[in-house]
Amino acid sequence: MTDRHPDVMTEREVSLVEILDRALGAGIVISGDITISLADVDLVYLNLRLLLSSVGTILDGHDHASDPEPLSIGRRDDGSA
Amino acid sequence: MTETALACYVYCIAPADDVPVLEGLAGVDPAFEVERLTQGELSAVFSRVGTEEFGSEPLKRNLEDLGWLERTARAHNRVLARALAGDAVVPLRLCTIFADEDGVRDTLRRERERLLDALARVRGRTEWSVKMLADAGVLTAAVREHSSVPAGSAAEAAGHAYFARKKLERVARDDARAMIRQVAADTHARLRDHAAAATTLPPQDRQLSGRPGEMILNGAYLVERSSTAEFAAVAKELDASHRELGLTLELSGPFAPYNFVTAAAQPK
Repeated sequence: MTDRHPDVMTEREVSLVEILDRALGAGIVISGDITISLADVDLVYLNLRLLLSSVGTILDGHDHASDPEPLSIGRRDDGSA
Repeated sequence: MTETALACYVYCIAPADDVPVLEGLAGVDPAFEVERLTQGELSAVFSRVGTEEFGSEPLKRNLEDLGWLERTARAHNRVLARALAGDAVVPLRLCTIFADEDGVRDTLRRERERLLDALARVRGRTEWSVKMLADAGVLTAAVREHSSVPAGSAAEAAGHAYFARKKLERVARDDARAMIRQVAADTHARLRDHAAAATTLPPQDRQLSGRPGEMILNGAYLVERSSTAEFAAVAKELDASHRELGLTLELSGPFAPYNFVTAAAQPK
């Protein structure tokens, strides 16, 4: 938990799973001409797990103790909120 | 030059008279900036996307590409974060795409009631996430220390010492489980008192979240903008008061109110 003022937290790195849990798992669903289905959402998570288990050794090599921030999956994107 | 067909990727809906300034912001297809389109009282925040990347078939393939997915999800999130500057915003699920602007307008007309209803629900409010994480080792030790099972019983008879110790550990673990369930429920109730609406989400997969410890609460709270500081203070206090049990609270936000735009997500 951070001591910073809540408004400042938008500048923190938000983990990919945090974004996906909201942008894929929630939000209003309007059927567009193309819309991700629930089956697609499940597939995304399945693929994420598969990919992560294959890069698990890389993540395990990361020093968690020195990185209290949530670990981002993949590259970091400083412009994100 | 425009051989590629374009489609409209919609991020969110805002009231027509309160659309935040989004000029110059790149969309999920970085070749195009975010625009807005108004139909009656509603505005759609959208950007053009090339169908060679966002068409039905390529999209299915791209969703399996972690790099593409992360780029797209972060770009989507960036637009929503900016749109939060407005008073009310209804986020749409990732990759809601229409063939053209007419398709977007038709939808704004067709879904008018539902969208106005959702906008009213989230006006002046943003979503915050509070997660509680448990360090199982610290927690079990804390429970064992306060456990009703006397610690000396493990040493009663040498022959039974092993089993007694095992039993004690199991009791401590079970007690710890029951306790953290209760602590998570109490914590959620306490935070809910300071929110306009609240809901709990399934704990995030430890592998996906990259967090050490077990997530025992993944709460989402719809908080009045004017109550943000108060809500954060309560979260901070709850965090401090649970540290010795090996429980930490993590506050993050503000998010677009993803979890509070449907009537079903109003359990309060």
